[in-house]
Amino acid sequence: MTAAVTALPPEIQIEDDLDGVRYILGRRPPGTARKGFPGFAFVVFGAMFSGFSLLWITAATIFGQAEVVPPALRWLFPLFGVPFFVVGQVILAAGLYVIRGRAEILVRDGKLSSVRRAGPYRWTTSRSADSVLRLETGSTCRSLAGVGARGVKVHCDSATPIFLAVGYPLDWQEALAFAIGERLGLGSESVSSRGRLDEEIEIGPSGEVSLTAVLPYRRSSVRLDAPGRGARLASTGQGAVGLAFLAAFWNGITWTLIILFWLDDDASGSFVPFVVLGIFALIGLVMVFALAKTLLARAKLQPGVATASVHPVCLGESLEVRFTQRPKSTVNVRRVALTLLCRESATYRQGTNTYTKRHDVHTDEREVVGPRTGDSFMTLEGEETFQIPPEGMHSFEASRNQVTWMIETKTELAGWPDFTQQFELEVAPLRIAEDRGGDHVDQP
Amino acid sequence: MSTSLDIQIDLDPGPWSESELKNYRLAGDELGGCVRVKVDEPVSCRGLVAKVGWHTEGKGDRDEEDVFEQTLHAGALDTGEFTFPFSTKLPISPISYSGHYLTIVWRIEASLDLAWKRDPVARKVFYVMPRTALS
Repeated sequence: MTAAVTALPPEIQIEDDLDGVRYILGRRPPGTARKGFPGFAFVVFGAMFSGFSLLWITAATIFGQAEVVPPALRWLFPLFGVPFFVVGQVILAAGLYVIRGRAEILVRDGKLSSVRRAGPYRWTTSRSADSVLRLETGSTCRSLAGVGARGVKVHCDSATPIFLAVGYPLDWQEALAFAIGERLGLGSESVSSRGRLDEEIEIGPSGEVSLTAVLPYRRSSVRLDAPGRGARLASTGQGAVGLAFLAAFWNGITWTLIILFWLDDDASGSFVPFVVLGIFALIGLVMVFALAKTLLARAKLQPGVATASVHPVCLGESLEVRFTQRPKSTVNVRRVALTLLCRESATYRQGTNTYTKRHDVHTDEREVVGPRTGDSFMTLEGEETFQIPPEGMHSFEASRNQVTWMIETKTELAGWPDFTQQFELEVAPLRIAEDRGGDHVDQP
Repeated sequence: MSTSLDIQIDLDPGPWSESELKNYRLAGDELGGCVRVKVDEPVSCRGLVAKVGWHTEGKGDRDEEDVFEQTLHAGALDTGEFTFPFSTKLPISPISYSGHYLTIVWRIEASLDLAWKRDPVARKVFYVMPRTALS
């Protein structure tokens, strides 16, 4: 079964050298890409957005030379349009990728990189090869280029997952997952069949089955886990970089407008713009506060590591979760708590806006470390056993609705912001015994 | 003059004998049953299609997937009552779920495609339980 799925399709070119390997995927076969309106709309919108920004930059450069504009602000008007131009270009590039883009994957210099090309645009996202914990095919991509399309999700330790081969056929994704998994030294023990599990799995009246695998919750999915560390849980990113960009962008615009209104003699009598801008400035300050909180917490503690005795875990099963974390300097720890969380997410559109509602349907918090003081030589260490409720829901991911299980860790320090991390936990609907000779469904 | 057509879906018995659990099935199990069509006068049908699938309900926009689709009959149907059996294996996921913002509903749907007439449709909701429900 494994040999059949590891064969790469002939359309994928491979450049193998001493430094590493490059998989060149070429254009997507007809019928697999998200062609038509979404990509076309992105291109049109991105082009218009960029064009307008360029117009602004040009006009501001010309009219900014007028004597009425204070010299210190002459460069500020053209610069104001630059972030908008960049955003427009990103939207344009995403649209081009959806329509006629192609992808490359690099395993080189200790990094796994996803390269997307669309016309003159090229952008790369990389993760350290050592941090890769799992590859999962058929996973829904949520980034701008290829949103809603499926690709190979690369779960990494302490980093946001990246996507490979977005929008390419599932067979290609599976073959690439096996090839890359082999390169990265990931095991293939927990590889499930090629998706169509409903055709391949045979469950008899007394529970005997014909397939040995831990079944994923998606029907079209292949999982590859790192051997020996497969139980190490992947933490989701802290989002500090994204928040920093957003805070800089938001505050940059808001405070520029506030300064301009302040300097404008005609506007000094008008109260309403200052109230509106004041609200915007308040939101900007909240962003800065949230960013500072995240960065302050990181200043004192290194990211923690969570491992699970069983992963994926099945409904009704118990798992031991072990958490370790080291301080960077002397800290006064109030407590460390682990929480097993099951979270529903529902995304819906209202008019032109998209909203996501979240609700925790199961929470189980346990304190694993009590008050203590120590320096960087101290290790905060705790272990706790959790049970997945048998009547609960397994992990579920559709385009707009998800059920996500996770372990949330919270390290509370005296006088410092809390350090929180979330580790994804995959809860499968059932487990199939590892014993190939007498396969049967385990009833927890 | 309109043709009177009646479509009904009957499911085979599941693993539980209790009457309130008659529409409950285990994930990965066989789902069998039949579509009964009662025709008052002969009609020409382009296809009697049975579909098994799930969809989401609740706060989020709808997600759905059909896991089984089969044309049970195509061609003329004389007056009388006809039975068309079907059978499919259910996938192991997703199981039926009713949460705060999200509900996952499994359903079987049978529709008769008639030329120049409104297509009669029958739907039946059933529940897919995890295999842990047996213990």
